[in-house]
Amino acid sequence: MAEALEIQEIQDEFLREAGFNLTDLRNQIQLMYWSEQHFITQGLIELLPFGEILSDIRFYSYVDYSLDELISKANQTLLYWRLSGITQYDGTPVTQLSLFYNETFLWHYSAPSYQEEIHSQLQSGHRVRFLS
Amino acid sequence: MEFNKIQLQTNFNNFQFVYTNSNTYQYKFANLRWQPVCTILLFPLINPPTFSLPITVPNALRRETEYQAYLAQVQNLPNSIHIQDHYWDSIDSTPANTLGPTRVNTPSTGSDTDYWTPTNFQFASPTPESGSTNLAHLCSCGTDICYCDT
Repeated sequence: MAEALEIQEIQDEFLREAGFNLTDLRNQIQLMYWSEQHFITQGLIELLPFGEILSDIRFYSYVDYSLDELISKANQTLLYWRLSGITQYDGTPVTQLSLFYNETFLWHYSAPSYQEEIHSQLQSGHRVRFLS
Repeated sequence: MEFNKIQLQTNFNNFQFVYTNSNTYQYKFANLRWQPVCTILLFPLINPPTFSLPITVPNALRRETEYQAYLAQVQNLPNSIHIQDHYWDSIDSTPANTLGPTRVNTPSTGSDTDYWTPTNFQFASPTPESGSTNLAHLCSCGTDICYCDT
């Protein structure tokens, strides 16, 4: 038991020194997830435009120029999970996490605040998207 | 990465937002590249034949203040929904390494298909930001699609 605690302390210290800047998903009300572990790197969450209403330009800009960085940030999160020893229910290391948009935030906060602009954009033939 | 489109369903003078599938991208570890899995563009933006309805009752779980605070954060983001005439001039357009010789998502030229898949996916930026004067000369670009004389 004491040895396990010591290993945990060493792990924690290593992770602190490695400089992982983490986000607690329980505080991210713009998205939903189902998992018993709640941390991903801050850089990854900042790259995911959940809850945003995306114009054509914003959408194409995101897909054309942000996806590579997304992989890099996802790899950082994976490294954090691996180094911190986070496991799934069956004891194997966590390797993936599915994130979804929060319907309440998108449809009852975000979309209503842009209602006129969304309407106008659609009437003008422009597509309006969101990350789901 | 899956994106959906917000669309309008109208009924006389009333309208409501609905949503439909739009673009899905998958990262392929085999070749270390993102690939479009499915792109659906040609459904009409208003009164699409098939659609999904958003939730009608919010479920904020007594976190209304947090929702409102995050909304304020989102509203402060640049390049949100507003069309910006000179947007492409303001961003770094250096091609990303893993996207291949051209962009991953920008629409194909003159395609009339409902679905774009990697097999028929040809690339052309919808704006003349590529810097090619020939492209600007040969293509007529809308917001989503360029029609080009080849």
